[in-house]
Amino acid sequence: MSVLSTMPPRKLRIFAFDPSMGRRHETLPLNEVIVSIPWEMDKLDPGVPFVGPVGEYVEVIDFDPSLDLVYRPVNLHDPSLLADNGLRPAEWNPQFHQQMTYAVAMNTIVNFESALGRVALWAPRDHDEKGRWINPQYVRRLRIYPHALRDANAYYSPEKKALLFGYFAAGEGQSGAPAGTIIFTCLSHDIIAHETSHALLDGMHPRFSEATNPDVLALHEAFADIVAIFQHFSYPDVLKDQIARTRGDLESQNLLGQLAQEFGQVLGRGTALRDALGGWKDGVWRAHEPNPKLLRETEEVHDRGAILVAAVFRAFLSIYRARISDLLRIASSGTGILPAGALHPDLVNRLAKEASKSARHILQMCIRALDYCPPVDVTFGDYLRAIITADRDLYPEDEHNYRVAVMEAFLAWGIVPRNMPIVSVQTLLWPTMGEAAADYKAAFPRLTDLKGDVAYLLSRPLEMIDELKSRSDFHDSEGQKFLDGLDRTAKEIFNELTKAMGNRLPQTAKRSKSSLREILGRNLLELGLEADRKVEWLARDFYGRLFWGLITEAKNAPIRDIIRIRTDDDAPATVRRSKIVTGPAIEVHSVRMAARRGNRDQIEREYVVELTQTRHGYLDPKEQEEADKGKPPKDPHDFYFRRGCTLLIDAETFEIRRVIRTPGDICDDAELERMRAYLTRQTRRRENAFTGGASRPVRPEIFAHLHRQGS
Amino acid sequence: MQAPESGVTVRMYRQGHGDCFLLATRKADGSAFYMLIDCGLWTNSEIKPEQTIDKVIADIAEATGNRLDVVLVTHEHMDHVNGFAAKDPATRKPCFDPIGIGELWLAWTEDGNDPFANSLRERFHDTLLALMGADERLDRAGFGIHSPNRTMLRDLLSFETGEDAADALRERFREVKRRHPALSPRRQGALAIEGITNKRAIKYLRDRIAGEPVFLRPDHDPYRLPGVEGVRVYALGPPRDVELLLSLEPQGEEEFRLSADGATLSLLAATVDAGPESASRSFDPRFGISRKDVERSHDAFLKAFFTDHYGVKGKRSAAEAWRQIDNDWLESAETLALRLNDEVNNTSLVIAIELPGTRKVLLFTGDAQRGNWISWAPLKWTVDGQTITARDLLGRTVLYKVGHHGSHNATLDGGVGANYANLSWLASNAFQDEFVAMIPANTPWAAHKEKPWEHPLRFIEERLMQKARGRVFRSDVDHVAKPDDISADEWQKFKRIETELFFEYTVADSPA
Repeated sequence: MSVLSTMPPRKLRIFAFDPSMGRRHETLPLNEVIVSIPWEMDKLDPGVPFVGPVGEYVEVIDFDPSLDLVYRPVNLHDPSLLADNGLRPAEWNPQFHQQMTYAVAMNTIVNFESALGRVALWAPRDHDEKGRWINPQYVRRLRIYPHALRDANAYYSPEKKALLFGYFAAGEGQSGAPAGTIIFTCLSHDIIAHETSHALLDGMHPRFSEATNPDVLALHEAFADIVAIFQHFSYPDVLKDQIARTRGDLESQNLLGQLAQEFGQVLGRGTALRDALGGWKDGVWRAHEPNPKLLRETEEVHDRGAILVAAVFRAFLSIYRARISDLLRIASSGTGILPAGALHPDLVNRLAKEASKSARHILQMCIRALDYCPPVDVTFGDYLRAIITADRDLYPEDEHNYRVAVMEAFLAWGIVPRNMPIVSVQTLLWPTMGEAAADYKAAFPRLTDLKGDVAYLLSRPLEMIDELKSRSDFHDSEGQKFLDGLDRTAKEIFNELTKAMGNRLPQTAKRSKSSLREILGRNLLELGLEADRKVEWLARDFYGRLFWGLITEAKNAPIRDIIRIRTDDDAPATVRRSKIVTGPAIEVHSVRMAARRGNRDQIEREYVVELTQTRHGYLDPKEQEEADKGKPPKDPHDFYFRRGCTLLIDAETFEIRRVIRTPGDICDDAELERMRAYLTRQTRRRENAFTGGASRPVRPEIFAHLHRQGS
Repeated sequence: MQAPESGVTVRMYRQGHGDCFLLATRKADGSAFYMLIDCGLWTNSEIKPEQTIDKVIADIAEATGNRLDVVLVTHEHMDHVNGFAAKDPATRKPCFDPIGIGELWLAWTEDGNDPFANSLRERFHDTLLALMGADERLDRAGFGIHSPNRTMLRDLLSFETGEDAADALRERFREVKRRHPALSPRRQGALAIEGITNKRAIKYLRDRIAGEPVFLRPDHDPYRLPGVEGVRVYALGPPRDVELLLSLEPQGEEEFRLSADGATLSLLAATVDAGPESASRSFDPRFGISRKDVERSHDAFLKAFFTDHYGVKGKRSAAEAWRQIDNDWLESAETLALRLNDEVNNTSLVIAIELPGTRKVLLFTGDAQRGNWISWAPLKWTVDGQTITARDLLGRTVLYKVGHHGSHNATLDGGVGANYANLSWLASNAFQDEFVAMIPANTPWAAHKEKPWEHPLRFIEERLMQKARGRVFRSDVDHVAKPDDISADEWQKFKRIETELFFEYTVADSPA
């Protein structure tokens, strides 16, 4: 074992909220928290400098273009910093800004990785500056620019795979900072966590930034807020003081809500949250009663997102309340009425711990659910089903009734999956392959064969390649290209893996080189959090292509039917066709593994496979009709209509555990019309008095845009 | 132009993208009363090349016998005021010189004795200067005036200055700096702004009248047209409510910031006020090292770190050049410019002219946007012991000058039951039979801009057509066409004059 893997976690100081807490006497104790980042995340020898910080996942580059100034990068391995948990919080020192953005971003990544049980990857770069498609390139690090903008704004740039933070002078009457002083968005814990979450979500689901229905972008925003809020609550110290002050009174839940909404205030994002969570009346803050009709009446992205945040927050509150009820009984000798005066510090600690545990649990549920979403066109209803199913698959027994709490809160806010006649924790579960097949009344026998094929594909990829080579429909040049690509990627994986192993082992212990066959003779996805991220990236793509080879096989037609993947040639001409095989194209978006620790400490592992199909859509139904018949108009198509399916495959039995589909299939005109109607509504919406609305679901720098709108 | 027997005649000029309305009515002594509302044209937006703004002004002179009793300016945007700064190319004298001007009517926001108005103006100045600076920085970064991230910004700057973007302002700013180096940059900026076309236009008008302008406010009794009996002019906007005026969102402790907000100020600091020791710096000088110094630094480590990770200036070929952020910060400018445009539009003086007999109303909204519209609902006045609400006035409106060329947010949509003023509130009951709308717009021109402007918005135009049963004048359409479903008899009653230069329509003070 190397020295590095026994290193204690890297500890770094950050502002608990933002610098404003340190300026108020009563909140001074809440000013600072220390985050721990496992040393393995940036496996660096403490003896060598760690500047930037530029690590394995992120790189902080501190350049302010408006002033043309470079700020010297911090060296986190400077002995005085190593010994003192990094720099002390200091607004006046840009190096602390670098440290804080690094620490909070890394902490967010840690939360993602531990919820998902695999390394986090950023979205690949798949087009150049001019918007032309290029072969996807691996992006190793998310770039962080702490001082990029002079604006009350911060955003994740999918174009640059970077977080851009702004700063601005505080105006008159701004809460938290004297007028004229500078407010740095990169010093707000929640803003950093929010933006990092956008980047992480984009890395998992690049198609979730396509506004194909009113929920997609709202989910992006809401999810980023959820991570920010609950990551925050997971620091027990943050809550202690507040709980002591409200005497753990159940009303303290209101205080939590109030905190939650203050988070977004700097960027004006608090407004939406304020409206959803609650408000002040006669000097008292009260949570809003959930309004099940609000969602239907709301279309603006932030307003919708706030409803989702409010629903998750409500679930959190009921979980927290359930968790502390016994403590309150004990402390009040069963009366439920606490004695007057300050709470016993032990009780405060216990309450804070429960709040922090509840927050962590909710956070993990919300992150895990991302693997259980359809690959495109996601809705809030899908997300509810995803949360419930993901939790059910990990914890078959809902001991603390968490799932009911989530369901109850979502329903209270009117979040219901479309076309679901009976809503219960049972019906919310995504169907198993067996159920999907039974509903489809399909022939069953192939399912058992498929299990074997999947097992074969994952455990012996090289032999799978050999088998694909014998397939009769790969003999033309496109087929050959596909097969050559597989060989190439296999070699690339081999090289990267050898490199990674070399780096990991001390020089003296170098083993004899393993052969290509040896390395690819085993399952590369099983490395989980140990994986080299580049290898993981290549491997996901590699298995994705193998899975494509499997699912396109003629004998698997019945399975394609069950998961509503259309490959029949009579599909409308607008459905994108495959270059390699006949009929409509199927895109397999990476095969990834999810590993989670269940409540018996067992490791639950499953593979996540995403399949999508694409069709050209036109805003004019007549044009669509013509194009469907193979007579496309001269103008290019207006949008992409996509359908897809996420499969969850048990890593032990290779059984397809869950089938998560978008409604309808790629030939479904009613679904296409639904999307068209939404886009048409969007074109009618105006953002300013001059130019038109946004009918295109895909727009560059969508988050910069969203955040400006929201502020 | 004859004053009508009864009521008001409205001449809508058809110069292009801009407003110019000449109103005539009869004075108590039987002579004609003339009022001009705005006179502006977006440069080069003529509908017909020969119908220039000079020609419009010459027509005003002729039609009024060189006498305007009142000139009213709704707000300070190029397309509403630059005619007042226009000069005769031959004599270099202002085109309006031959025309006598009685009174000048402006919104209270122009009142130099109103502290609220003054702080608003300061905010606008700061924003304008910041945008001018941002445009200059984009220029220095090598973006041409037609590059996509500059066209909108420059257009919006043209609205505010009344001339080509902020180029002239920049020149003047440099000049002021040279002449008054001791003044603060904001003071220098204010001096420079005094010279922009829009400001010169207002100043010209103020110099032309005897005494002070009339500053109209919505909380004031209805105003009287000098010499005219019975007609009342109600000011509906601009609102005195900052929240509505600036469309601000309440911040923190529900306090509002009237001064330019922090984002504007920091943009201003970086673009206008830049200097090594200036307030633009965010950290003490010991922290930052200029990029140039880093690139030629003797600190080999820092140089290597920065050039490896960020790249070298100007070298777009570097491996990670696609991740550079040299100019992303300047994109805030467009958002800010749009907001400034909205805010100035919201300072539009909105008037309802009420005729004494039938109590019909002519509504001129300038370019009032959402916040201004929203502010009308609670307004009321006591006239002859009777309470008149804004809703009454809107319900009696039979002529509507459509706001902001029919754009989004300048004619609110909503139902009769809505609690804010909107199109459905206009012309209720019998008044609808006579409802007429006038849209100053040059649609083909607007549609051919690099980023097309939707003026008017098709949806709003359709709603207006429906409500007015076809009686909608649009300055770029030569003849108002009879809709198919309107009977010839009904259309017959819609009397109007249509010439190349103007449309003329009379609202008679007698039942329809």
